[in-house]
Amino acid sequence: MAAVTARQGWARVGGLVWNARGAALLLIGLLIYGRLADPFGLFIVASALVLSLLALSVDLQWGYAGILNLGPAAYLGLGAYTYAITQRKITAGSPTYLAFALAILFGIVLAVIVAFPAFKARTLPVYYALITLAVALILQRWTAVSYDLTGGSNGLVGIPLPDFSLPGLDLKMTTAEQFFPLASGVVVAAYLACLWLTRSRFGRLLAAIRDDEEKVATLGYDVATTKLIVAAIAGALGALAGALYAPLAGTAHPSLFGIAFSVQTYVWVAVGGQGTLIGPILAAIALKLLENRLRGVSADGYLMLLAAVFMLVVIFLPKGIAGLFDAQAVRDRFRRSRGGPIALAPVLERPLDEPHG
Amino acid sequence: MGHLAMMFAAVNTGLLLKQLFNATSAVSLLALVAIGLFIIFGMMKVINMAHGELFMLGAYTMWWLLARGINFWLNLLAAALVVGLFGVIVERLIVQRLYVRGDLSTLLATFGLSILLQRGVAIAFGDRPQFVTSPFTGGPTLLGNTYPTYQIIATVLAFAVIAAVVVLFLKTDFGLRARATIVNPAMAAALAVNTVRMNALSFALGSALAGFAGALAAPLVSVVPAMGLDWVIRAFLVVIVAGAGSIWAAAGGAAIVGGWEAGFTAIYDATYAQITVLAIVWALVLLRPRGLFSGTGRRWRR
Amino acid sequence: MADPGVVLRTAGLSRHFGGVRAVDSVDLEVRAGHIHCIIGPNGAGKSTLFNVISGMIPATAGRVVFQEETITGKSPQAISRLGLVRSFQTPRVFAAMTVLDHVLLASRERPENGARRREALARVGLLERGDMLAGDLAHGEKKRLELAMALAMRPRLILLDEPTAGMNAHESEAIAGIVREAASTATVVVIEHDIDFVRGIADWVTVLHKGMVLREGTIAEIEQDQEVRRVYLGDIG
Repeated sequence: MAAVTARQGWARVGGLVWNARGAALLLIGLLIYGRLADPFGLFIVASALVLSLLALSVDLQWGYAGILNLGPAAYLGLGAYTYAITQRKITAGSPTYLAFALAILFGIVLAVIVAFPAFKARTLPVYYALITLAVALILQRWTAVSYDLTGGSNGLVGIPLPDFSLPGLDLKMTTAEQFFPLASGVVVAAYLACLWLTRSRFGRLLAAIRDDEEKVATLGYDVATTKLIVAAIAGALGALAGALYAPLAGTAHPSLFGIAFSVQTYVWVAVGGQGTLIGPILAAIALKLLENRLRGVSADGYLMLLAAVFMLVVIFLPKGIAGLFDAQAVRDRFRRSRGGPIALAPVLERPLDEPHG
Repeated sequence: MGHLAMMFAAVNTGLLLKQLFNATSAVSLLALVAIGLFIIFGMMKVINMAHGELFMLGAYTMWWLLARGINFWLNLLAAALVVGLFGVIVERLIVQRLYVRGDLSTLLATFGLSILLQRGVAIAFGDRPQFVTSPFTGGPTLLGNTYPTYQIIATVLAFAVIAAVVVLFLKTDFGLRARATIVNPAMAAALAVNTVRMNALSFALGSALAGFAGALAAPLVSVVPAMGLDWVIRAFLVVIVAGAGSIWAAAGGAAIVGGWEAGFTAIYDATYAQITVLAIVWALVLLRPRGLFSGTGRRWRR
Repeated sequence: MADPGVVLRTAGLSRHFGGVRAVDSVDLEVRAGHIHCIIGPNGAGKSTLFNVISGMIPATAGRVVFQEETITGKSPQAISRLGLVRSFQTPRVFAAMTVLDHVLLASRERPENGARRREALARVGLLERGDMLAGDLAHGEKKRLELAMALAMRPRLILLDEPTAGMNAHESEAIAGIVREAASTATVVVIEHDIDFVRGIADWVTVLHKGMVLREGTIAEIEQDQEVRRVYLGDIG
């Protein structure tokens, strides 16, 4: 056993680096962009990055576990309002740690509450999709009428920027441009975390559940709990997106729960390619920049365009536009055409087992 | 004192009656929307996310034709026809392609379609509310409350159409095949039911019902591009509550969801009414994951 | 009552679908270390019996006792964790996952200790297919992979639903070897149609007919039974 560990260890490090190449390229790209772009461009890309966390949450659920949550915006809104209200009523003028922590906590709690009956009672997947959509819309409606807490349909304005100050260390954000590096860092970290998760044994379990839940149960796994964990992680990611989006935009309003944000997220995941993680992030940046060009022309037109693209992708490219260029798929096709057993794939292309241990 | 108490009691009875009427009216329209959704779901196990937008298209058809001076009652039929035809196109172009995949892509594609239609109408006619004047004004007064004639007629019409659909399902050849398909699609296919044609027909029927409901409701609500969302969400909850067991289930589910919501709204508040409905649905999913009227614990795969 | 030699016992186990009694008051005793075959014509309720025992569908009545523990009403995952695992008639593999990943999932091993999964793959003769995607395997290989997943869980009892379905005589022979070898570490209950296969492996045979136990005995006794012959010939003819 000991004899193999050194070689396997290095192979695993190599594998990690190879798998993380997307993150490295993304980070380099963002660093360069951060140097070149004007403040407004930085703002646009920062909001794309923040919202791409929501896309990551959808990709984890839909792309990896086959769970369809049609109301991801519920978590965006929840995170945004939690951040805004906490910072207003509890920790005004103080560092924003509590606001972020509460947002993530509430995201997890909401996700578990919503998903619990659907997964535990093994209801139709369609029902879960409908319930999640209903939850988002009813939260939107409730936010719009709860004036005392949420400011009603006017929303909340003047939401303070994040402040990560520690005793003796001033880390208070003062300008919106400073958001860009924060958003970049969070997204790259979230991407790496999701990558690790999906390449781990847990990720393999998710893929198996997506294929055949019943079979996985006969292998001794608790399918419902596994799906709940995924929903909870997604809830945390979505709420984090909201908690970052509120201070970036400076406002929180009921439409954050709205269907437009949910659809937009699905479009990013579908266009970027579900089950790729990096795809939805890139799609978020690209489409957000495009939106910025088109929104001036017609906001409705832009949304229509998104919806049309989404439909076309779902109908004609079930693996997303990125699926067209998927190198792995090409390799698979090649393998299949040769047939028979294949040689051991190069170790770098093998899925990562566990980065440590 | 006694006189005052009597008056108070009279007012309360009147109020109660009025609220009962409003609840019945709401349930009838909701049942109409839900039955359309249900037929498609029951037959094909497909949820048409754009069902609410079909309802909206029905309302806009009514508004558009009415503005061109065409008779209100004709417009009701026209709306059903136009939206029914539209449903056929949707079935041909989208649903039929994805149906064979057996996954949730129909849900996603119609989700996209719903936004496309909603924003399309917003571009064409604007987001501002359009008003459809009802062919009647006023109505009978009972115990101090006025009951608008149109609302009465719309409620009766909605129930009549629901009854017609039930008769269609129970008495006709189409209904027999449809019920067979709902209960056991594999068996129905084995008995040479032409599922492709049945699917197209049921999609057309479900869409036509949504269009009719939209046109019928148009004078009672404000006609805006996003109007369908509110209705379809409730119709979704009806389907979850009821399950896909029988045509009666949809009506029963609509009575529960619509009745509860109307009652709770009258007592307290509309938003909290929806929240409580959601809570009920949440509990029902836990206790009866296949729906309240699902009968046997038949297992579903997808 | 508690017979130490009995691993699995069902008492009055029934499963009705509407008016159809797919499994009707079945009393079954499976002895430790046996290869216990369950035969019967199509529709006799064999697969339903497995589905009920493994917790995939609830019993209408009766109970299942596995190693002195009542497992009726437990979830499939709880039952399989107790060491009662099953395979499916139509192989249910995850098309996009490699063969190795399948046994890894089943064995719950840490990826770096491959002993258990290699062993499981070796036992079914799939060791050199480890890096292939399960979707690319031939039908017979998928059936073997089903077996390997069951073995990788180190079960006390394995329920095999028609392990030779769709195989030729030569492949069946190989499967018989695997099943015999599996019986060295676990008790095996096999549903099988192929009577030659049953003859080669069975320590004990139960004949199901219309959801009920028709006969029990050694294969020699069963083969001479007039009632069984009548049921089978009726089925064939």
